[in-house]
Amino acid sequence: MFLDMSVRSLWRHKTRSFLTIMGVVLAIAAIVSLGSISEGINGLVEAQLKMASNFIGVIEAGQEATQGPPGMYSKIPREVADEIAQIDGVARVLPNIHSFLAESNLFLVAMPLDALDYFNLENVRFKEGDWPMEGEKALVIGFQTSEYKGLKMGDEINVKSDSYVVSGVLEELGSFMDYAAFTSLDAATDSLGFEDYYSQIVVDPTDVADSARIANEIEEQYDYLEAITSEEALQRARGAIDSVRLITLSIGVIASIVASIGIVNTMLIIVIERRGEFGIMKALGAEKRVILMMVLQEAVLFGVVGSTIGILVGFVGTSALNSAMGMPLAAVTPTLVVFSFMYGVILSVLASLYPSLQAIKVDAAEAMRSQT
Amino acid sequence: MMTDLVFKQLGRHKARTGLTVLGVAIGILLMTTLSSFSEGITGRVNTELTYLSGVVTVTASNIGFESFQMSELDGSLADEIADISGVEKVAPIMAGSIPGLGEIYGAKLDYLDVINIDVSAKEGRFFEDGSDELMLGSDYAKSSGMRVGDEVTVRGKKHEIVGVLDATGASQDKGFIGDFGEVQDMLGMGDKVTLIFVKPFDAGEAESIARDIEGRFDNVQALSEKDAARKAGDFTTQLSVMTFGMGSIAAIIAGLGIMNVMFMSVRERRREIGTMKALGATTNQILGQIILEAVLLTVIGEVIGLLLSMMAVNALNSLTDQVSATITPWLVITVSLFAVGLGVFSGILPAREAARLDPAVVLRYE
Repeated sequence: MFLDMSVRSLWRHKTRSFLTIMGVVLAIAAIVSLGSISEGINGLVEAQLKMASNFIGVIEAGQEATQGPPGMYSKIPREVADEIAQIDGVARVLPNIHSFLAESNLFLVAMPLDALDYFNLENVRFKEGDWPMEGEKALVIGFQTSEYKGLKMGDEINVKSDSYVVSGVLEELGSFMDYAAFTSLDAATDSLGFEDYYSQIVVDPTDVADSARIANEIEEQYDYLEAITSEEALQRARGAIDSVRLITLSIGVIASIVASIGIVNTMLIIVIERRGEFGIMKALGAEKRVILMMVLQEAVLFGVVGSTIGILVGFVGTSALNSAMGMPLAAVTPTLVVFSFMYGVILSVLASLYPSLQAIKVDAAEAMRSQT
Repeated sequence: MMTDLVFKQLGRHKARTGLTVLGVAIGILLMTTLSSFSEGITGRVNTELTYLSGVVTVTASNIGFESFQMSELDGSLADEIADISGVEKVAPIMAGSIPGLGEIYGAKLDYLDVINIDVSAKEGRFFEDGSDELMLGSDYAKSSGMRVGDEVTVRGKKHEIVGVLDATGASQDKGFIGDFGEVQDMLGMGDKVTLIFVKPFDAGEAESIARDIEGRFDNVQALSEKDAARKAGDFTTQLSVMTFGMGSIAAIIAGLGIMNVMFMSVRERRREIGTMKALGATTNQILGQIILEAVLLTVIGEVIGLLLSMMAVNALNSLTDQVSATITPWLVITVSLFAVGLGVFSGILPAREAARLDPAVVLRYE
């Protein structure tokens, strides 16, 4: 009802409105583009763990994801894998080797190609090509590896001193696998000199309900190993993402506090300037509620316009981040958009509460008297 | 004379001024605190560089300064490099992380001089070459609470802690230090080496020896002191730009707030400014006064923000028992310049508006 009045009032002071809204825009853009980092990684992790569930991952203790992809520095003697296979309740044991190819900046995963079903990879579709033969010096690359590194079929990649050819490109999976390269266990064993070790072993329990017991048994028997059920892995990953989220969000929140100080200032001045107007309205019988709504409506307008533009700027910031990282790891999710929008609007309203209380307190007689 | 006026002006609207200054203070607090972390890391990197003067650092190719632990070289490479003419001494180094314990570094005492490390044991004594004894880095000794005489078990083998190393300001402060071969076993690295420091007979030849090594061996990078400094510089610059960028968002928003307040203040004082002009104040004096007001707001906010940040950084460091963040004089200067710049930026448009006021028009309505 007063919407046109609010718009007109904001328009009357273009510079002031523009500067106040710019503050909200920058704060919301910061929340969106910084928040997109944790949201993007979160999406990849959830997709990854959905693909490989009901398993127990065994790596060397202390070698989890803190320093890069899980199990990168972990080494498990091959005979230990055989021993674990003998544990009661273990259906099979699937070893893999993880390595980081510094030269091409690629994360390499090697696994027995006859056990693809276990990693839920047997139904993965290829954009081009196919899995190599076991032992063949060839690689399959994930979707983003191909998109962002410009790698394609037939390209050669060095794995230590061996040259591998790209024999397949996977379709997008939405998980970390999009950013990796894959080869057979035999080929990696040979090229990486891993004859005596695996990086990680995946234990397939006969009965999923047995997972926790088997994990415990492995940890008790081998004090330098860590056995993580897929549930635990999910929890840990969420914990790690939460700390990234906390840091990025606090930067955004601090920026938005400063922006809301700008709103308080502007609204206070608006209220002072329009004392006469409010006085007349009161004299004409306007209720406090009406005046309150009028002031708050302007605040909501600041929030809505600022948040909308801020979200758009945030999208730009996210793509800038992604191209700076060389990988589209950050993603603006619908949740993030809704959250940022609501946050921006609620913040504007909260920042206007004190100024609008000042507006209600305006005394009609006094306000009109002082108007010359 | 003008400064009095400026102060009086700011005092006139206490709520408005207070809020604006608060905004700047919060912005500067965030900015300084974030940057202090990158400064802390930069400081450590630079200290590490001083150990590398005249030394060639050999790692696997494409290893950055921040990820040297990921390098893996064949053990035989050290001997092969030692045979190159012009090479006086080589120092193969192990670096990695031990499950559940933390970082660990391995070297032999008889070649530690290659990397100019001339430190003594702060407590206890040095480990002996070929033994399974370990030393603690000074920071690690503090944060872990371990002491001389304690034992750690790695892969079923016990290792006695025989000493604490003096602070070096480099990576090894934050971990264990032990005999090269022993650490190799502890890390399960077979006969691999993380990196090799190469000392030429003539420091002037470091550059050509580095190129020689890269030419001879595949998948190996050899960095002279200059190369290493450049790589480290790339990394630290990237880090500071990133933290400064993220940290400046709030301060920039505060700057917009100041611009807003200054515009309003100019509009409220049209007659006052008109009178000043009519009395002979020059355009530059008016410009100067308004900009000075804006700068004063940002500088007051900056000082408060800096003080708060120093308290925050101190609290953080004592909480983690490490000096991971530092507010360097350089950071204080950068932030101060930024604050002054922000004040000028937010004052200039309102000042121009004030300077353009026509006294005749403004005073007509008196």
